[in-house]
Amino acid sequence: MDFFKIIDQLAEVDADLLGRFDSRRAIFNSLGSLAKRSAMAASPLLVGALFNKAYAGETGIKSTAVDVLNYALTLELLEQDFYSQVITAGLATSVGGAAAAAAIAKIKLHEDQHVALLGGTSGAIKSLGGTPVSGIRFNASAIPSNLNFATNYDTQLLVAQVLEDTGVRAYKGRASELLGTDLLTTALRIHSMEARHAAHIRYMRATRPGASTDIRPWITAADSAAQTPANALYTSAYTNGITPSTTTPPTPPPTFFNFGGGSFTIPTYDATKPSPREDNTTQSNVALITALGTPYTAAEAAAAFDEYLQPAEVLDGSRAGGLVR
Amino acid sequence: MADNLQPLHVPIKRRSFFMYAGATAGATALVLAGCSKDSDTTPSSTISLGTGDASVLNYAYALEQLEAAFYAQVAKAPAADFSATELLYFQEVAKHEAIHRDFLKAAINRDAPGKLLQDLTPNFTTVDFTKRKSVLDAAQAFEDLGVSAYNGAGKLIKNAAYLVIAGQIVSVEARHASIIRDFVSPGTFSDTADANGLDLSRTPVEVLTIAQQYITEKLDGSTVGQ
Repeated sequence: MDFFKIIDQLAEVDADLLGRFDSRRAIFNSLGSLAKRSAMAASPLLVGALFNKAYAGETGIKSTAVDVLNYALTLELLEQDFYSQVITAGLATSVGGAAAAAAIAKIKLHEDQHVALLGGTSGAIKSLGGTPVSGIRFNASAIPSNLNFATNYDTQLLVAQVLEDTGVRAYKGRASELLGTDLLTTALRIHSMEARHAAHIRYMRATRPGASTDIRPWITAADSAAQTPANALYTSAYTNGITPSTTTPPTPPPTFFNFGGGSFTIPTYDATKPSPREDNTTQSNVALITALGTPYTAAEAAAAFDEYLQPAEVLDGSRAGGLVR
Repeated sequence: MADNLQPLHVPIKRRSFFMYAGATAGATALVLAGCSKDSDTTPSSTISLGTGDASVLNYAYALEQLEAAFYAQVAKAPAADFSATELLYFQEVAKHEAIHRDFLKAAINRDAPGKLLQDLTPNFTTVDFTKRKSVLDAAQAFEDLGVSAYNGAGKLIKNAAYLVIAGQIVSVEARHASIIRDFVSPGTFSDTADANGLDLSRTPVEVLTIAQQYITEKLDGSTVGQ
């Protein structure tokens, strides 16, 4: 182990590293870079020890960071296992063709990388002394049987779209907890990559034989999968609370949750601020249709902005939470 | 003078506006840092984007002005060799970007009165709008640049509400980038990823260094977010 080299590397990305190891902001600032470093570094335990020492007495702050990272890791693990099952099923190749299979493989690779970055043995969570959640699996049996997930390629693409779009919304929902930090930058860089995935999956769906002409790379108000799908995977409302917010094992309902290992807390659902539906046309109290000088249609206004979700909504049984086993 | 952006059609008017905007007391958002000498005929001053959250919003506004003007031109006079899907998508993207621009303008005027960045004068002379490939290449450059800009600017924002809004915009930009990349070369939707699966991120200075070639006015983003 080359202790000084690591210090040098850290100092390289954060010139004032040691002096700033005493604030909430500092831990996040360093962590974002650390995540990248530690994914490649040979001595993650040392890095973790460095943090442990620097933040002795700041358990709460570190705990928050670990919770946010574990939340992200949960979604990445879910996506990772989902794509593993899709690849194993083979339909992307046999039905979708070589280009489709290559795209699925590429997306899966990114999810693998995100999982390693967040939860690997050299990942960000362990570097903070936390325990990465594990054993998150995609529960194919949660998909309504009439959609034939195992044998229907279009269903697989639909679920992929739901997962990717939900992931995009999920990262937005916790961004403010990382305000002003380099860790936020890392989260945003994952976030936009998920959006690229989502757009491509949507384009794959749009180019399938007999596809709806309403499907776009962006989320449109007309896209039924974003509104009132027959399979209820994408309802816009929070339905069965996860409160007070410990998700392992989920107190109250959703019986869908059955994490294999690890636990994390999420902010309590704020019933006064239910997340907007995808057909929302008002942002920051600005009515996009009527208040911008130039008139825009509801469809244009809805598509121009993606929406966020509270963690409790994401992990709710009506959304990603319902697809975990 | 500060009417709707029509930069491609009224460049001379824009420039004349800008020439005396600097001497106008009302131009509080403008910090004219002296004339640069690299322009042969047009007096050109550097416009600082300022500091604080208003500067981040104006930074975004500058980029959205650029994108909106670009796609407005594409939608107005589309290349003859666009596919039907490409044309349809470009028309929708043009609306998204126009909404982003107009929304940011409204938000800045509401939350930071007097600090709105002036209308910029885009310079798209390097783009051949009659050729599909030229338009797609430029669009890819703009979208990837925009994504990297929002990703890099996120941590400069101090007000959580603005951060959420920025997040709501950047994922739409990433969706644009994804499909345009697929139009340029199928399957390249996410090829901006690094070895950790992370998308691009750039500082305001890095972004403006690249974007400057498309903007007539000189922008200084070195204090954005400070």
